[in-house]
Amino acid sequence: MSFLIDLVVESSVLLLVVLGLGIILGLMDVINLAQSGFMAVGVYASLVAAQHGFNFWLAVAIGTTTAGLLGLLSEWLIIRRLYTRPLDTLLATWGISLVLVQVITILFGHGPQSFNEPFTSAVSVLGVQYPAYRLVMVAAAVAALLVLFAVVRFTRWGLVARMVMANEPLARGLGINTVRVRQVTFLVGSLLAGLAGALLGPILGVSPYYATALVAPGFLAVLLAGRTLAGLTLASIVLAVTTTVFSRYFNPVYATAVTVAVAVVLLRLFPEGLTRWRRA
Amino acid sequence: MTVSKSRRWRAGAWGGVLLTALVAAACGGGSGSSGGTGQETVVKVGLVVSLTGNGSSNAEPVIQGANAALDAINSGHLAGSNIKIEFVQVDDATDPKTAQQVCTQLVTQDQVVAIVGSENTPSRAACETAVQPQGLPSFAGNGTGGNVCYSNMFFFGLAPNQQVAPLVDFLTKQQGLKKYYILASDYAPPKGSVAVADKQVPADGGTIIAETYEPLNTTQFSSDVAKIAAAQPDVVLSGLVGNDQIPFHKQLGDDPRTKNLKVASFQMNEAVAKAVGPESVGIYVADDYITGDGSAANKAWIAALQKKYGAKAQPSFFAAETYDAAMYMAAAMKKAGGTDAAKVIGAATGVSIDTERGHVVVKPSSHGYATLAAHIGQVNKDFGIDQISVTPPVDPVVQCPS
Repeated sequence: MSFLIDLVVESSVLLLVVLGLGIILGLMDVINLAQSGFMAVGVYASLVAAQHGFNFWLAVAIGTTTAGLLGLLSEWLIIRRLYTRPLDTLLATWGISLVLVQVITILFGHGPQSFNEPFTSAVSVLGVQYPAYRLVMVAAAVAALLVLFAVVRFTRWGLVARMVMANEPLARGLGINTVRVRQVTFLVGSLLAGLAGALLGPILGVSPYYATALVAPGFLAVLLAGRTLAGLTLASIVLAVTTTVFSRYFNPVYATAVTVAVAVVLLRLFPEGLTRWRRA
Repeated sequence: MTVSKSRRWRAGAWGGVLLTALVAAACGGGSGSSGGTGQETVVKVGLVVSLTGNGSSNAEPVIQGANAALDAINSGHLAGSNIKIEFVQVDDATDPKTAQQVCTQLVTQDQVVAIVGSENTPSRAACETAVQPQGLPSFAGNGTGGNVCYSNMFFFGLAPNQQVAPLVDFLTKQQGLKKYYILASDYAPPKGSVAVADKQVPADGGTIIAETYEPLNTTQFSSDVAKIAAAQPDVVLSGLVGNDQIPFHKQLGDDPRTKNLKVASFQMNEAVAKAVGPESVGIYVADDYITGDGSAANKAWIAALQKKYGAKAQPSFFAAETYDAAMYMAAAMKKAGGTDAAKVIGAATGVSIDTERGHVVVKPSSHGYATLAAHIGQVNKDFGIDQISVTPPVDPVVQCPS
């Protein structure tokens, strides 16, 4: 039973990482290699806030906001100039990531930092004792997903975003400020990265190369997902479950290779994304 | 249009997957300086450090140890009365390819007379492909699996038997822990350590109930925690390396099924313990140096490091090993009467030094590996390491590939 909860938690962790990547890619055609950099900014900013006596949750909010503001700044300074060259954004965001990591290294040193969870208690779920803080990941992933879904589905902003996604030239022709849409999208993506970074800090351990190991499966998930939130969720679950089950019952050393192989096979079967069959 | 657009971003995303894999290997340049006047001969020594990449968390103490040694060598003329040493520091980015580039640069461009380094095994091997053909002596401020030998290299960290056998002896004989669960990084040095434990545990009367490996850079250990919870061992012996230890000990210590298990580690140090937080308290360690060692030599060494680096001083085993490597190099140069590569290599197996770790000697039969004492310790509630005991010096067991 606790293994089942493990699967849910691992899927949620991946989903948290993937949401930011997914919406930036889906709406902007930008492969955001700075994701792990923004996650690192999120966690270090939270760390500093926590060291200055802020309550853990407030510190997480500060970390999230800092990452979001930096995202806004990089969109304005760099990404905006590359919208007509989507593949060049790959290089630009990678560059942003390197700069962020080096600045963090200069400010905080190479060594690992201490960032402790607000509670280490365990709670009883489905009859087993489980570390409570890990369940926060599930709550956060579900909450982020629901909020995004509600915004995309039921608000005017969501309608505009979906329109830009479907046909950007037409949307621009209709007088929609697509630059503003992209700006807001990048802000939301960076906020999500900051939130994921800050929340995962106490579980993963904090160092300048924070979360780089998580972002690689994150890209795989985005690749599998197509451009829907349902696809993102499904892809996160498929990849996390594959990795966790294989690590548990076979050999963890080959789990990454198996996960990539599963992703490749699924991509062959669902070339337009995991949820695409429903629309065929 | 839609299809081609979709293909384009898909291709880009694949590029993203590849590039993220490369992020950790991002290269960084090195820097060096030259100069120095007077009658003394200024000689350059390459200092190879993993400033970026996965090994970067150890860089600071390594640099501190090396530079503290440099101060001692130059002020005390320990390398010879007319020799002044200067480091050319380079970054191997924890990446073999970068290591080879920077070491080639050290040898050809900077014309160094020796190498002092603290690199992981693949990077060290890559560096050697540049250094060994020139016949330059190389002093490694860390250990290895005890299964690589170079005619020009000397190791000042532990070979697996020097660390693992004393730790297993302590756990089994003194603590009465018999059932072992072993988890290690899928990487040569910890595997060498586990191989020693495989022999030592049964020899001491214990049993290994499970042995598993995780790839480097693993951050999610829920599968391992579940397996450990199911196995219920007396002690979990961790051979995880670097920052991978942090999520593991946190996740193991937070889970109610495993939080009260005894844990021992080959790789735990104060910086990692601090980053792990309360979950690290009580972990047993064995190493060739423990900061809390109460000897006078060690206290003086720490005081010197703190004088130089203030609150940022990190007197960990990384610093101690690299310090000893540099000091040993100086002693070999002094005995060789200069920096001639062949003479220094020849002299290096004949000298010994007394440092913060005690008596350090490389015996002629040890293939360049130092004979060292093992220090047994335990993480305390301030995330420092309390020393429990020190073994007599243990000779390394080295198996050179034929």
